Parts: sequence; C-alpha cells; structure tokens
Amino acid sequence: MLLEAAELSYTYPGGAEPVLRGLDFRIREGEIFGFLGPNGSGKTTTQKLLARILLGYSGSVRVFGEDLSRQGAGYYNRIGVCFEFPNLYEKLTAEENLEFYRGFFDVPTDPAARMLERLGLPVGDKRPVGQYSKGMKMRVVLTRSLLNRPRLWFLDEPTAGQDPQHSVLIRELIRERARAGTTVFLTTHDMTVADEICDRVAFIVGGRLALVDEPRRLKLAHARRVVRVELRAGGGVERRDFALDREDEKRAFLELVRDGPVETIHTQEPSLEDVFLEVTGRRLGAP
Amino acid sequence: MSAGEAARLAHAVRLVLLVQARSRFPHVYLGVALAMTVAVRLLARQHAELVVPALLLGEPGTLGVFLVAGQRFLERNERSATALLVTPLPSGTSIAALVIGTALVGTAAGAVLQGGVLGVDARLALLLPPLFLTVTLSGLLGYVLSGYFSEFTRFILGAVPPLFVYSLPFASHFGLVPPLALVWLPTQWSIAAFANLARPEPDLAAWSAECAALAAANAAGFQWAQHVFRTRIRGRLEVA
Repeated sequence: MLLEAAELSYTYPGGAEPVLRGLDFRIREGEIFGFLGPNGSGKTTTQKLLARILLGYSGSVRVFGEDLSRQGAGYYNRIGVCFEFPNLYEKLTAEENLEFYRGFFDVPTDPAARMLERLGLPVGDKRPVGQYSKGMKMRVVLTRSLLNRPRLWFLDEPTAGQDPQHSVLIRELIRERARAGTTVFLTTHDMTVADEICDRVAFIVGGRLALVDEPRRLKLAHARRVVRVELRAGGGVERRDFALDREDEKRAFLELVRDGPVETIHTQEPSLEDVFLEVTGRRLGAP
Repeated sequence: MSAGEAARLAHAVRLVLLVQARSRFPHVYLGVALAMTVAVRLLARQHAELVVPALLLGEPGTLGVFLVAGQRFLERNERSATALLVTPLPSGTSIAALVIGTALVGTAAGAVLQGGVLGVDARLALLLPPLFLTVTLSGLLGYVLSGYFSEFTRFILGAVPPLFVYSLPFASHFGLVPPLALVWLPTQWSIAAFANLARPEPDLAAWSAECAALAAANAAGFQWAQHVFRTRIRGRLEVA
C-alpha cells in the first residue's frame, strides 16, 4: 500500500467539532483514488493533512511505508499538490513561476515549457499570469504540481473552471500519469470525472467515510435491473420499462424486441451521483 | 549551512527580488534615495555628517518594515506563499530570503545616498555591513508585525507605535537624549555606526562592536520571526 489511513480525525485549532471523524482507507500504488463529497464534507481538509499542509491530526497515516508525522522536507520531493485555487505569483509569467518553483526541489524536475504545451498553455508568453483566465491559471498550477515528477499526486477539483476541451486534456493527463505509476488522490465533487477516471472512490459526508469501492461495482450493486425501450406508437414515441427480475416482463420485453417498432433500448444503470444520493442521502452540490 | 541550502536560499532571494521588481518596490527605494541625495547636496551639504546618518536610518533603515510586510500581504492575497508550503523549502529559508532580498535593495539605496553626498571612499565599503544589518532588522520587524494583522491597511496603523520606538535614536543623534539612554535599542547602534562612518576618520573598534551588536539583534529577530510564522502566519496559509 502506498498510503494507509486509520482512524484519521482532525479538528481545526479553536474549532468545537472535528471536521474529520475516524477515516479509514488505503490507496494502492498507481491507483487513481477519488475522494468525493459535497462542499464542506472534509475532502480538502483530508488532502491538506495528507500533503502535510495541515499538521496535528489524530489517528495513524502511513505514506511510502513511513509515518506521515515523521516525514521531513524530503516528503515534498515525492508528492505533487494541485490546489483548488490559483496560487501563483501574479506579476510573474507562467514560465517564471514554474522555473522558480522547480529550483526548490532536490530531485530531477521536468522543464516547464514542455508541461505548459501539454496542457494547451502558450510557451514563451511574456504576459504575467495575473492576466490569465482562471482556467489558464489553474492549468499552470496543475503543471507546477507535476514538475518534480511526484510519486503521489494530490489533485483538488482539477477540472473545475475548465472548458470541455481542456477538461478532456486534464483527464487524459491524469490517466497517463497513473499508467506510468503515479498514484493519484483526486478530490472532487464532479461525479462524471470520478466515474470516468477513478479506479476506486470514497464517499465522504460530514467528515465520515460512507463507503470505498470501484465505481463500476457501486453502480452494479445499486442498479435497478430495468430496461427502458422507446418505440414508435400512434405517430409518437412511447417509453416502456421492463423489470428483468420478473419473468412476465422479461418475456414481454423479448417479444417487443422481436416484433415491435423499437427505436432505442437502454439499461437503467444508476450514475455515481445516484449511488451517492442513495448511500448518503445527500446530493453532491448540496452544502 | 550546506551548499545545497545556500543555493536554495540564493534561489529564493532571486525570486523575492524579481517579485519586488515587478511590484516596483526597488524603484521606490532607489527613487527616494536619489531624491534625498539631490536635496542634501543642494540644501544641507554643510550639515551632511549630521543629516546623512539620520536619513540612512529613516529611509532604507525603516522602509524594510513596509516592504517586507507589503510583500507578505501581497503573497497572502495572491496565495502564492501557500504553494511554497509543499516544497522542500524550509520556512526559515523563506523568511531569510524575503528579508535578505529587501535588504539588498535597501543597502544599494543607502549606498547611493552616502556615496552621493559624502563621496565614494573606504567609508562606503564600511557602511555596507551595518546598513545591510539595519535593513534586515527592519525587515524582520515588518515580518513579525505583519503576523499580527490581517490587512495591510490595519498593519500600517498598527506599525506606528513600534516604529516610533524604533526611530527614537533620532533623538539621541540630534542631541535631544543621551545616547546611553537608548543603548538598549538596536537602531541606536545603527545610527551610531552611520554617524561613525560619516566622520572623515571612523573609529573601527566602535564600528566592529556596532556591527556585532546588530548581528546579534538580527539573530534574535530571526528567531522571533520564525516563532511568529509557526504561531500566527502558517495557520492562515493553511486555511487559505
């Protein structure tokens, strides 16, 4: 295991209530692990603890086989952190930001220009990043988090604020890095992204983990075995649902497929969002 | 300090200098120093030995408070300092880089003033150590004070009382207070060193003692700044 958390709890200094309450999870090397939950559920706090931005948790966390609380400055050579907000020197260019950042590491780093190009950002641009759109700034932040070739990559809402084209680029990059052996800890409330790229997901609500599993298994486990058929009828389109667990409906469905004016057939798998709602009783967008 | 740590500090200082340059901080420093040089040469050349030490403490020596704090608030507003929390750069190196970067510009401004008014001679080289240590000290004071305020405007108001105390050696320099009464203030050693170097024949033994005292004050100030980072500043970056 690359990362193991047991009974992880955290209360902000001066806070009355813990924001994390006894989290248990394990992350395998090379896995894309999605940490999903609504705003304020404790996702970002968990990531900040694992990235050692926040200190002073209770419970046990082991990363790279060592106790997290004993990791020194060298830990940052092995991790990359993409924040959920742009935190760049706004008066410097993107390349200046990245080149200065590179210089703080003790390990081989990648040239900034190559990474910028990969994410559709201009190379050799003399404009300060303060003049960039939020989406561009976030891609610079994403690029920065990869410069030291991290073994463990923390991403907080990496596709937020991106147009569809760049969102696809980012998802491709995440998958590519995972295939190359990088372990990804992805914090998001975007279920589509999680469903598409995560090997496993954890649902967190109110500082507690509701479950941890593979998206496909979750969807199958919560699926209604129902097929929806759209057929031409009386000059319009009619929709009929067939429960496959009932013999009479299964027969009716097969007859319809054989003889009826069927236009489309859809299985009624739940989305990850539906599963989340069913398991936690909460919608992801809800506070 | 290892070679690797020294290289990282130098890299961080370059970053500070570039950020300050883009924010026009050195332009302010050097512009004011040039203006003062011209003014003293035109209006008070006969009192140069008295005026230059006071100006050195008053401009580069004090502006470090505002420039370091100004950059701290700038980094806080754009959240750029948060990114440094996830690099191997130790917080102490980050503080040192901010103060040293500011002090390099401040020392250059002070050298312009002294050289422009009193001439370029051996005294100018001797001025650099106490001047540099005075600006780093004011930078550390700015860093510490910035930790107690959430906005730059509140900081400016809050910095007035400590700066009043910091500037008390003006009174001893102009003969209003006996120097011994203020010997507990590091800036008293600064102005004594500047006054010493404004004379045609400086007292080198006194200069050495003044530099050593300023270095000790910086060491204490650096410890205080690190304490403020741990107890007041880091927490705000964490929750950014």
